[in-house]
Parts: sequence; structure tokens; C-alpha cells
Amino acid sequence: MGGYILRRIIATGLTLLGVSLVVFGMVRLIPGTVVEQLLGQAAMTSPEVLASFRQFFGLDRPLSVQYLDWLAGVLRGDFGVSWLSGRPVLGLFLERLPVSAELALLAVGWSLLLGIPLGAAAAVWRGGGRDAAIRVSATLGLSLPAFWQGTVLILLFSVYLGWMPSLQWVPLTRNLGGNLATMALPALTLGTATAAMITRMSRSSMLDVLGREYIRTARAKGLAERRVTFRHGLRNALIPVVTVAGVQLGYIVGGIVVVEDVFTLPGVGRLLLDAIFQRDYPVVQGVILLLGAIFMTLNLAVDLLYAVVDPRLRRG
Amino acid sequence: MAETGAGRARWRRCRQSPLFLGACAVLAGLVLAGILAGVVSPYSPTGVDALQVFRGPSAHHLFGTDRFGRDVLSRIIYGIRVSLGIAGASILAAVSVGGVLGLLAGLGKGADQLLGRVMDVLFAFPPILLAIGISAVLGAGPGTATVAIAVVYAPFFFRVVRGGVLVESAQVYVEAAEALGSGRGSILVRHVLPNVLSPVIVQIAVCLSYAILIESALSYLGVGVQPPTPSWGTILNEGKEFLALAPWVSLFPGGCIMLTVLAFNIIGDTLRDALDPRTEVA
Repeated sequence: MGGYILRRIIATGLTLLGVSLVVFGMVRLIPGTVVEQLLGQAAMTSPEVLASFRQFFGLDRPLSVQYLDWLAGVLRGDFGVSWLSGRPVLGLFLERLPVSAELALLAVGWSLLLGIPLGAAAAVWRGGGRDAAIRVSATLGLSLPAFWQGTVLILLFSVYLGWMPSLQWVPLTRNLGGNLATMALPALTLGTATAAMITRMSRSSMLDVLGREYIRTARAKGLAERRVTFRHGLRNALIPVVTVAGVQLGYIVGGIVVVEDVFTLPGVGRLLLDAIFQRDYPVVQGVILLLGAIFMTLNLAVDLLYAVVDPRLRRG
Repeated sequence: MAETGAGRARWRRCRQSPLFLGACAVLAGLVLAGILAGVVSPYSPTGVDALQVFRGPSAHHLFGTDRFGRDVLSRIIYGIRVSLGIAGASILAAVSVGGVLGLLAGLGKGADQLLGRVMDVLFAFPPILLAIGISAVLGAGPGTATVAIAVVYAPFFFRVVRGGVLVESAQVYVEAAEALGSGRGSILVRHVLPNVLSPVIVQIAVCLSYAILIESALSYLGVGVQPPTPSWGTILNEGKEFLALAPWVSLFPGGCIMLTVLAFNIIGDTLRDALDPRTEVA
């Protein structure tokens, strides 16, 4: 078990190194130099100014030196400084993280609460009309573009019905009720595809489990169907579902960029988009790297959790 | 690859599925409308009309008009070319690059290790985040969106082809071909590749649906196709500021995206059930 965990951690570390290389290379791929982007047309008229800025930012050094220098900074928690505000990128990221984390957790939470019972029910009702309705709903849920779903929800609940406040984020620390009211529609939007995925996975996993020998044995022993389904069936069917939920949490990391834009939430997704439009490349670089690292850490945590509950994986 | 009786039966079931046929008809209709956009569009997609600003859906403008008085239906029809074109081109590039690299990975352990690590790195990013990052770096535009989506999905095809190659390479028919003196490359292309095509076809349908979602998300966020070029995401983006005033500008293109993605999802699911019954989904 210890060896497996160590191998996975080392593999994740190596991949993270590759990710850092990609993120570093991304900014160097920008047409024109970073300094030209920063200074705009003014720099083109004065090669001296351009050269002094290149020297100031260390861009006159070999790329490998620049990368190692940047990586050493990242390992110390120094992700650079925003060109626009002059503030450290990590500070900006951490400031916005609670909003995004709350959004992601709410989205995964409701998608689990809805997806698992729906999937299990569909498996129990296999082949019937209710099963078909759940399957169609899940496919529809996977097909909804988040930005459009968010738009429709704002239109319906905020503009027409007036039930929900729209585009007015309330901090969690100021007013819990108000915060949850403003987060309800974004979380609903962000979690829809995940709920659909979990419904499909729960149904598939439950069907697999319900066909197993021990379920037949439980029925043969005369146990009540409800007990067989929930006690013996659902509990065992949940293991792969938890894995899917973990992986989906990772994908939600990407989805927050879109949903925060639709609902104008001040999270890390909004920070990234603002930085892109303002060409604040240290922030773009830092946010993508940090979100990638979070995505990988979540995947690693899911792998390790799965190894704990399924010993066959540790031997694989 | 000889088609078995069971395989033919699965295909028949696939062709008899009303959902599958409906999805194919929707996509065929969209592609046809996109090709014939110049004929079937009632107005120019970029034709500004100051007297028709924010007109609701009517007999003259079935999907209404936007803030420049442009016909939303015409923009959506021309948008088919852009949205489906980018999705198609990017997935074609992803299949080509990912597939070839997947085959190469199957050739030897060294290539497998190296390519596997590179693909792991690309897999380490949430897809939309990687696409946004690439678009941010290369600058917004249809070409960039195509490259970004291709880079995001090439690793998916790499894994499918590589996995298939590894499984098929252990089969007896490969040993037989080797014993008959066939070279490794020839065996891969002539014998192994045809047997890994089924999961690739399923993956193409699934990835096309994701590609449409990512293209429209990029354009919606302002880092994909730029106005006035009509893509479904761009039209939605242009309508978001006037949601309360003119909801039709956002509702109709979004509905088109959902319908198209739904069609690809249904086709992907049906093909998966038909080609690989072990992975039947809900």
C-alpha cells in the first residue's frame, strides 16, 4: 500500500513538472515578446528601452535559466507579480479561491444528492418508463451548455419570477442565507453535467451489482427487497460512483471559469478571464498552473481513496 | 475485420433505433443548412438594419433580431459553418495526431514511455482550462480555437488507439503475421489498426459533442471566434448584455448548441452499445 501511494505521488510530481513546463512555455509562445506586450507600441520605437526592460525581467537570459529560476520561485510560493496591480499572483489567487471552492463543493454536493438516488432508482426500474425518463434526462443534462443553462436560469428565476437575486454576490462571512441564495443558481448550473454523469454511473454500477451472486443469495435467504437493494446493492455500487464524483470535481475546476463569468462571481475563474483580457500574463500563468495542480491533486486523492477501498488496484 | 453475425445484429438494432435515426437526421439537416446557408438564410448574417433593432420573433424574423437589427436565424444558420466546422476540423486533427502517436506508442516501449508522459501532462489540465490557456496565448480566432480543441482531445485518441494496439498486439493473429514475416509497421497498419477503429469511431462522436461545447464556450467567453463572425457562442455572447430586453438573441443559439450536442451524445451512446456491448451506458 505504502509503495503504491509513493509511486502515485512520484508520478503526479513528475507530471506536475511537465505541467509547469507547458505553462512556462505558453507565455513564451505569445506572438512578440512579453516586454512588447507589456509596453505596447511605445517599445517598438525605442530599442534601448526594450533592451533595458528585457534585462529587468531577466528575459535576456537563456530559456532554461529563466525556467529554473521561475520554477524555484514557484516552489517557494512565488508565482510572480501581477503586471496590472503589482500584487503577488498567489495572494490574488488565494483571495478568490474561497468563492470558487464553495461553488465547486455546492455543485458536487447537489449532484451527488440527486445523481445517486436517481441512478439507483433507474437500475431498480430497469427497462420501464421511469428508467427511460431518467436516462433521457441524464443525456439532456450532459448536453446542456453551462453558459446557456445559466442564462436561462437567470432569465427565469431572476428576471421573470424574481425569486433569486441575480448577479449580486454576497460574501459567506457577511450573510449565510444571502450567500447561499446567490450561489444556488451557479451551483445548479455547474453541477448539472456532473449530476447527469453520476446518474449514469450509479445506474450502470447498480445494474452490475444487482446481477452479482451475493445479491441472489441475499434474495434467496428471504431478505426484504428494500434491504437487498439498499443495504447490499447500493452500498457496493457506490465505490465506482465515488471515483466518478472525484474525477468530476476535477472537471468542475474547469467549469467554474464559465459559470463565474455567467453569474459574475468574483472567483478564480473570473480572475483568469480578467487577466487574459488585460494581458496580465503572470496572473494567467499562475492561475492556470494552480488550477492544474488542484485538478491533479484531486485526481491523485481519488486514486488513493480508490486504492484504499479496492485492494486489487494496489496490486495492479 | 470480418463482421460477425452478432456484429451485424447490433448494427441492425442501431439502425432501427428511432433516437439514433432522429439524431442523424438532425445532424444531416444542420450540415445541409450550413452548406446551403447562402440559399436558405432569409437575410445576410452581417446585414445591419437600424429600423429592425431588437425585434422579437415574428413571421419576418423567425428568431428575432439583435442590437444591430441583424436576423438571428440567419446568423445561426451561418454559425453552423463556423461551429460545426471548427468542431469537425479540430477533432479530425485530434484523431490524426492522437491516432498516429497512439500507433507509434504501440511500436515500442521507449516511444510508449515518452509519448505516454507527454499525454499525461496534457491530461493534467481540465479540458476547458487548457483550451482557454492556448487561446489566451495564441490570440482569439477560429484557427486558434481549432488548434486549442485539437490539443485538448488528441490525448483522448492517443489513449484509445494505444490501448487498442496493446490489446490487439497480444492476439494470436499478430503472432501469426509475425511468423509469416510481416514487419511491425505493416502488422500495425494492416492488421491491428482495423481492429481498434470501433472505439475510435465512438470516441469521435463523443468528442465532437465536447468540441462543440468548448468552441461555443470559448466564443461565449470572448477568447474564441470574434464578432461579427457568427458562431453560436459569439451570438450568445452578444446577447448576454440584453438578456431582459431581448432574450431570444441568447435563447435560440443556445437551443441549437444543446440540440446538436444532444444528437452527438445519442449517436455516441448508440454506437458504443452497438460496437462495444460491454460498455453499455445508462
